[in-house]
Amino acid sequence: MHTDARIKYQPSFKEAYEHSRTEEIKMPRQGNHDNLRFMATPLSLDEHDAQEEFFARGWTDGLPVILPTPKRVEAMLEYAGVAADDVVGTVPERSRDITTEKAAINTVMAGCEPRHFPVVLAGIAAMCDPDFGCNTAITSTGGAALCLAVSGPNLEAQGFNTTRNALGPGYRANATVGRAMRLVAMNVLGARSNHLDGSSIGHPGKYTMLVAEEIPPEGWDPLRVDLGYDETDTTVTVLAAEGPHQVSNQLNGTPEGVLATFVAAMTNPSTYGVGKGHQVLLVLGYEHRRILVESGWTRQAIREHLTEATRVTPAYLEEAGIVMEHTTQNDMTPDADGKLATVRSPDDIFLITAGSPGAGWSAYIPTWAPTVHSSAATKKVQPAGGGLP
Amino acid sequence: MTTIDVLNPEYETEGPSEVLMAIRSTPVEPVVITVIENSKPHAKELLTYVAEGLRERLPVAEIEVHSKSSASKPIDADEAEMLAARTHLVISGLGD
Repeated sequence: MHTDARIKYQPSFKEAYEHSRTEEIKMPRQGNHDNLRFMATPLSLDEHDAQEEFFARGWTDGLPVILPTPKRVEAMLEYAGVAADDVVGTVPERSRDITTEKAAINTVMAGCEPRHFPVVLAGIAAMCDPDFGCNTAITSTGGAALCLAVSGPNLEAQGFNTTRNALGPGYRANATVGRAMRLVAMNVLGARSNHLDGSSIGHPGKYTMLVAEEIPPEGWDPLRVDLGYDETDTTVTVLAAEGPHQVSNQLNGTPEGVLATFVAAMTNPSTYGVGKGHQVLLVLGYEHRRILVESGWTRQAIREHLTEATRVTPAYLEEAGIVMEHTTQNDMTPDADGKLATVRSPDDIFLITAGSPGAGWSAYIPTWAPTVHSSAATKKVQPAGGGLP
Repeated sequence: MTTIDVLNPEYETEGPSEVLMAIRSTPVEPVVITVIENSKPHAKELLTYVAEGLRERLPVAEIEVHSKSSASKPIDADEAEMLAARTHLVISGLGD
């Protein structure tokens, strides 16, 4: 069929709308990997004053940063095998692409080693998954962190801490990869206090929040296998998260007792998603998972039990002062059993084992809002030189 | 003074060279206005009140309030197409 090239194709309204929202996600630009040319504006600063200049421009999270020299940024890009103008993700509501160059600049600033840049890229790609709802997750008054759950076969060798103080300080990989995510959100997406980050309270996890999965106990699969990935893969799951709630049960050696304590933590009415169907990340500490494993509990059985046991009645929530919502997005009309789901499906519970022996501690990390607003998203980490996730 | 070369970490883009206003035209009859409420608590009540105010002040035939499924996410393409097909003016509103 002959087509007159002078006649411009006129897309339908729907085509134009969809194009505007998905074009960049479906078709990331691939640059020339042999020629790393920077597009970011270079600045020549007095070396003595440079750190203060970064503070003054609002480019940090309040902590000092590693200065992003072209050489340091280039090392990130080269390690990952990406070009400066590759697009790792897009947030359509903000009309903003996140290029690998800007990701690398902020990853340098966070203090990452180049070998961890592919983990950051996977985190950014997951953050830009439409189901994650990045625009709201980094804007909402709820003040969510960009919490990364990293699952891989070789994390300790990669510098990640999976055992003692698993959610605490002291390990560069855990601290800086999570920090890079926040700096990207701040500097590339504009999520700064008093600008596009509307957090009312926020929490310290907004500086950095990453949990790395230990090699699970015998008989249990790792998180990445739960999510359909291969045992040999390394994955990053991003959750828009409240701060971690420590779960203590030190004297009850029964699986029922341990799980009952988790149910108590997961049904705290002051957590916004309780009774509204949110997602949770459970970090099972050494004693708790040992009790569960030795008693024959499978990961799926735990998820199913907690899904059912965390259903709550409206009266339970109302006693704590919570008002039932009946809006389009949150219809808190109870189901036939008179209860409301805190998590609607066992798949909304993400299980990770981490931490070290010592009394009986775990952590419960709820997402900041129901799944109608945001769902966790997962991406596979590419190997060195492997390009975009 | 020793200088150090660094790269700007912020999003950088050239703004549009020109921004055009929507075409102003005399409304055809009957004019239909849709208010999209974001589905947060009280948003529907607030925006319905606004819609009723518009109805009293403007020569419109119909004003409807459309509820989003989530305050966090935009309307999808099918909703946009549906609203564009039956509405002359769409007002997006927030409530909380």
